[in-house]
Amino acid sequence: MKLQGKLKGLLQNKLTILSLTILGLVFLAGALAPVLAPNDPTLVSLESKFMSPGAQFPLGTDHLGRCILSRLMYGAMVSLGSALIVMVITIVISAIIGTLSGYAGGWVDSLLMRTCDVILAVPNLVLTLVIVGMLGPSLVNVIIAMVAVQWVWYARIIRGMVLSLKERSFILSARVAGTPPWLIIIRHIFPNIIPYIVVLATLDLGMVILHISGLSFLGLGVQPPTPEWGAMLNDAKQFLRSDPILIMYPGTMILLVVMSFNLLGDALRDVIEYHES
Amino acid sequence: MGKYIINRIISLIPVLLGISLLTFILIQLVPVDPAEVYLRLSQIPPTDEAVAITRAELGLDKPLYIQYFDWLRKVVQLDFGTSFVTKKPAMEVLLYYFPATLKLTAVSLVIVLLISIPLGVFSALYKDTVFDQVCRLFTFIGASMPSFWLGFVLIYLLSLKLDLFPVYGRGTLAHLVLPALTLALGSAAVYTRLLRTSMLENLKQYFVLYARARGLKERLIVVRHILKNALIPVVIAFGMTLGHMLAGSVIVENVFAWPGVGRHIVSAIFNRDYPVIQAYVLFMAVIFVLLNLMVDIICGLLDPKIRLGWDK
Repeated sequence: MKLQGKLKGLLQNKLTILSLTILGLVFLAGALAPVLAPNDPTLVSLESKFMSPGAQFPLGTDHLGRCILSRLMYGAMVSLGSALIVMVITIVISAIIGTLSGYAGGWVDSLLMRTCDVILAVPNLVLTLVIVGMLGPSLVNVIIAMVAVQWVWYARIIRGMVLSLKERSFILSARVAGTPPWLIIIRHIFPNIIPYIVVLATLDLGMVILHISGLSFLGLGVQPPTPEWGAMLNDAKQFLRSDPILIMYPGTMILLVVMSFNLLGDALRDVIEYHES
Repeated sequence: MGKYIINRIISLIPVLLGISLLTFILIQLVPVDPAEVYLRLSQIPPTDEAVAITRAELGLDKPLYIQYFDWLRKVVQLDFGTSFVTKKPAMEVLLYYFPATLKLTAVSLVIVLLISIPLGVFSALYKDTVFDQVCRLFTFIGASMPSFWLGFVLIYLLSLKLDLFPVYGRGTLAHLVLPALTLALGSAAVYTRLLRTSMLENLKQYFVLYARARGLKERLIVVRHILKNALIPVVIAFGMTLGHMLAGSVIVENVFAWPGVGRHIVSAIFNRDYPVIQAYVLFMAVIFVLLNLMVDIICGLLDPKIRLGWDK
């Protein structure tokens, strides 16, 4: 596939390599947190609260004496993990709905696309917030709410792709040959759209992480004592005057990861646009 | 032009009906019985009998479609239910907090324009210079910066360290600076980028070459010919941005304890004050839809191609 060649070309860009390295390190730190983390991230010890960096606690401790480095590492797992879950579910749902809508056409298409119009008519942060509000604060509900709002964007793009693919000669030949629709979709349509959708989803991962940590910051997402960057910021805010360093750690992590995803997304977008033209 | 506006308004009717249906469905997501929540918030023990009476009072015992039409009839008469907590009409609660949010958003918007227009214009005119690189860095950081972190960094640096602005509260313009700046940064970054791209596209057009050939002053070419055209996509994005800023104010208001709708809605969520949450989504959606209508009309006025539907 030509797209793959272009993606390989990406690896020659320094900023892309930098962002991939950052993301890789954060991902590893999160995935290996149970092995690598120096301390239990949820162990409360009031004797060791607000400690400066030292041998036992490399980045010091928070207001409950918990190891900040360990919390950051486990937090990476929660933040990246939940963002990936949101994206995977979103892609699956939007691939099904988008393909159905584009391939079936008629009233199914009209109904699904009008539903999309309605969801798009509400600012997505408002809708996410309200769905979480109705379901109740928790990480699972945040994931459900994010998926419920996000699928619309992808479903519309996929529908457009399916509509143009449907008229291509290889699909028409398959139809003339009597291939059942489900087989055409699986064999001929999905392989042509999935790579694009994965790239598109990468573009948005930074935004998804910002939303999830934002909701956790508001207290609506990850619940204590689970370590998560947004929730850590929420804990640290009351000590802004006495221990400002506490807000720096989770904030810097979010900024680094989101920026890396955005840089990567930008490079990928150039590849896709170039590829399409 | 009149026909264009009327067509746009008519096309809003199904969207608004859809929004009403969506809002109604949202309340069905509540995992607990709203009647029970209502009783608990009113400090009444939720006995079976009390729950049954409240269900009848709130109309929860009727079939769903009847509940929807009952609700819609009330909404059309501007009755959005009563807050479980304050026992005041839900819309009255929102309207009480809305001016503070509007003020914050309006000041932010001014900041967005003050930052993004000069940065966007000059980074396009001086493409690939150091200035352009610095702007690029700004747009990258701005778009990736979590507003809930930026707010605290600004409070720490400008209020606690340098003592330039008050930390929390409202009243004077000084109170507004930090929250408005926090809310503005993300959109300012997006706008700077959008304007830069749009300026660069217009710089390549033949009418610019022609204007130069006529010997017009460079400043005149930039302002009259390039900037005027380059602003169209920015205006199109305007309705979206304003909607997103109104929504984004939820986080900023919570950082700065700014007494707006965003801060109230989070406490409504924790209190399970469902009528207020429901009124909020309806309210924001209608504002968003109307903003986009306004933008469409302005764009129609600016660009005849859009008005006549040529610009596909």
